[in-house]
Amino acid sequence: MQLKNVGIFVLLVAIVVIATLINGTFVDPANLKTLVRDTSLYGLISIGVALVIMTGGIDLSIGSVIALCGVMLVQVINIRYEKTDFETKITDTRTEDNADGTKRYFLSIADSPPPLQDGDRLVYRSTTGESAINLRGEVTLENAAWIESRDSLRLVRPGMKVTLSQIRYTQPLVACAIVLGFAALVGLVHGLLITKLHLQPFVVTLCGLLIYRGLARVWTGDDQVGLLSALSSFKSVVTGAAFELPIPLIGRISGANESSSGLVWIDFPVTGVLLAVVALAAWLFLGRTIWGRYLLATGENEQAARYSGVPTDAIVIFAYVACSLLAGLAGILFTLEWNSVQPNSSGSFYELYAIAAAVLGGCSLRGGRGAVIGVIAGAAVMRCLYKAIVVLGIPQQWEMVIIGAALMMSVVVDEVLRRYQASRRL
Amino acid sequence: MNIFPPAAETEMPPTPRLEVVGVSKAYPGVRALDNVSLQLRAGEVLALVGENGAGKSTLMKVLAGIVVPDSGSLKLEGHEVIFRSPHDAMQARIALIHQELNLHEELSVAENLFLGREIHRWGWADRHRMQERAAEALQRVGCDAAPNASLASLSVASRQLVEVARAISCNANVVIMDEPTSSLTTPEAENLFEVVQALAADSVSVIYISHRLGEIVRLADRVEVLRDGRNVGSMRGNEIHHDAMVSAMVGRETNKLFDRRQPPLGETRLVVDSLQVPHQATSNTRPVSFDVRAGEVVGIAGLVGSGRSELLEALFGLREVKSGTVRVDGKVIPSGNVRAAMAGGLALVTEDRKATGLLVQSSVCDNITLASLASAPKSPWLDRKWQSNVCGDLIERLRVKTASQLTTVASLSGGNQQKVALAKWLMREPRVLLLDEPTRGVDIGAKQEIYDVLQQLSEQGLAIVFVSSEMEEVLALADRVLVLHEGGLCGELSRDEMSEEAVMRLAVGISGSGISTNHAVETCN
Repeated sequence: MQLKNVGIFVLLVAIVVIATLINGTFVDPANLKTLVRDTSLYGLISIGVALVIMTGGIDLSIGSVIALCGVMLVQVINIRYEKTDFETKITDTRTEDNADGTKRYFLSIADSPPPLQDGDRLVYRSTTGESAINLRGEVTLENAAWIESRDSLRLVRPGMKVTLSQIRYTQPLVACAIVLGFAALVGLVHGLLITKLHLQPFVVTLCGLLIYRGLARVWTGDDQVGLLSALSSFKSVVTGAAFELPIPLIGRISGANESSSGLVWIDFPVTGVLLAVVALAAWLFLGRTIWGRYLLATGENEQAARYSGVPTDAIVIFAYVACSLLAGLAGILFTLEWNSVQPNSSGSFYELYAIAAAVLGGCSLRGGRGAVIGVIAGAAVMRCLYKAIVVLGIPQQWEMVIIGAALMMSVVVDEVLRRYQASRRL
Repeated sequence: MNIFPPAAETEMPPTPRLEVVGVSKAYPGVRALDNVSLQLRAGEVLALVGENGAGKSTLMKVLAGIVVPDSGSLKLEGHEVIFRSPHDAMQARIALIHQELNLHEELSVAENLFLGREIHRWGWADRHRMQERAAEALQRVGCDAAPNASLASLSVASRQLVEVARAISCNANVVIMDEPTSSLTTPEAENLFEVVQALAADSVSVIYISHRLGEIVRLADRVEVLRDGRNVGSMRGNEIHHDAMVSAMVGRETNKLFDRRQPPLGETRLVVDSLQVPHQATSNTRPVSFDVRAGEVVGIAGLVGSGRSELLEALFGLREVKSGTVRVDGKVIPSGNVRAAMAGGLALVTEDRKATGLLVQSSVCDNITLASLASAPKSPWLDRKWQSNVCGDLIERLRVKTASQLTTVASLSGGNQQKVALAKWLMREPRVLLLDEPTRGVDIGAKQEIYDVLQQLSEQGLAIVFVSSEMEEVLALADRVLVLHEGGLCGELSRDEMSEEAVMRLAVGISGSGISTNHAVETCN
């Protein structure tokens, strides 16, 4: 296990060095930023599936969970409702002239209103029936709170009763919570079917792969669904930079942005921080808690673990819940990156990339073996290979061939080394 | 219509049909067969009896071409033959019917009968002819299953008959049956006896292996007794009766393995009250009741399949029980729950350490601590310092020979692996220690060390219950022996009453004491 962890880092460094030697733009700041971001996104699902693989199981449904969770995020956020529970009276109006001759209109009301947004309206009864004033939002004029209106206030009189009408969408964080809750439920169902009904993990999650992909397509009528522009502030936080990271030398190597010190600051994305948090938690769990020991024991020999009082069913269920939860989280993050979800293709094959990263990182599909740091390195190797193909101008069609060959090579080398060691021990 | 012509003469023909001459076979550490000879004549039913591990199964495997002997020869109708594969034995018209039947559940009866030798026409299976031939064979063995019925729909008894039908449809003239009645009901067994007698009348020779001596008295023309891989007795006709067989099976000079000194006994630790464990042979086993006191070592003996391991597994919550209760220190242990059994103070060192006892790819220390992690001081965090301290103590106490605590268990010898399995449970400081085959596959030195540890533990007041197939081990270690027969308790022997013969009589189901005759035997059934 130790040796294999070293091996994957050697491979990672080799890919980066070779790609950089051939074409220095491999390490330009923009490229590094997307590399870190993509590694983080794929790293999250790889850690999830690695936990399942360590129990001796497999999860083939990850790509479909990503697509369904993405669709769900968009659809839940797009739920539109009108709030009309605030009634008050208009107390004052005023009009100001702009320099260009246009006018601005302001009004004040008796009670302090809930937070206002552009597009909210004040509805009142007039002789012609129900009318409305379209608002822009709250402003401060001469140290007092006023509400700016789009419409002229000719028909409005102080003392008039008005009802505030606000069109709202689901809060992004609420939508994320719902999506993650659903993802956890998916994992729970997988775990229960596998432990209580003794179905094979391959079969259960293969059915999941078909069902969740199908549900995503049914829900959207197979049409692409996109994020609201109203969500842009949430999106920019999640997909933005958490902090800047100084990297030496890359300015000179890539030929871009050469400064005197050669130090270049690159954006470290929020997704990268999320991966770090998840990886740290998984590493602590696996290496420092009794449950991590239970998980590896269950994967190595389920029967012997059970005979030693290990709650093997609970451990296996936990692994599937964690895997689906991380796939759901990745579904949210991918959707925010993409801005839209294509229900019939988004996330396809991602389970295979995740499994490949886990295997590259030292997990055995027989279970009982694996380490978080290796899995992240595995995900990084896959993304670096992909990026190298782009930067070196190799035709895109070669991507799967190259990744497949790299995976094959790593398992062959691993097996040869293992036999060599075994033969030396005898 | 008989395939085989009836024997032309009533006198035995001068050349036996099958002769085994001085066959030996050694496995690492055991001489499974040591210069064994036997003869089998046409139309004869030869019973083969012996204790667990006497060499019966190995001999059968030699006859069926599964095992190639180290020396000795086989003669068929006086001509020497060499079987290098099961196929060779089949060509020589010898059929072995395994204890665990060798049939394919998803195929039909006829497909099973002709598996590997399908009747075909230009490569196309001739289903019609196969079904016809299958129907004939089934009729001869009195099996009413339809040739096109799926095997999965058949009872165990019918499957047994399908195996016999397969043997005779291969034109076998030697049929070997290994414990054929072990999972049959009495009427089903009766039917099988008739089939065996009919085969013999048809001049087919039958080698019949069974622990049920009553069946042998009834069926066998001749009995060969094996012990420790050697011929130790042969009887024919009215020489065949229970007592003669039992004394031939056990009559070995005993060299004491271990000198057990029973410490003063403490309070009652384990109380098993009318426990009924589901058993394959009989739907309704007799309930088992016993109790064990602190400091006492109780052995559980019985033949293979008598339900010894099942009893331990039921005590440890690995098996649901039909009825009855288990108490440790007066507290009832809920059945079917390992964690509850562990919390109640029970520990089980399992029979098969590679499958159920150890994580062989993990380290010695990980294995020793696995069952105790939840009660470790800093749980749920792993406390490596605590782990290495407690492991170090146990490794020293049990004298486990390992390069370090981090060595993988797979690289240890069998004896040291067994000590690791034992250490895992001693770490929990159990109130009652259950051991299933405590020294299987363990070299003699480690064996002594394990016995010493068990002696010390009992002196410290631990209650110990162990199952063993090795008679010497039972006699050396146990203060008291419980003997099981077909899932139920057949009898109990104190240290003074214990002898190999006494244990064996109970194990084969003879419950009465004193001299019994062939005709009046009290049994445990």
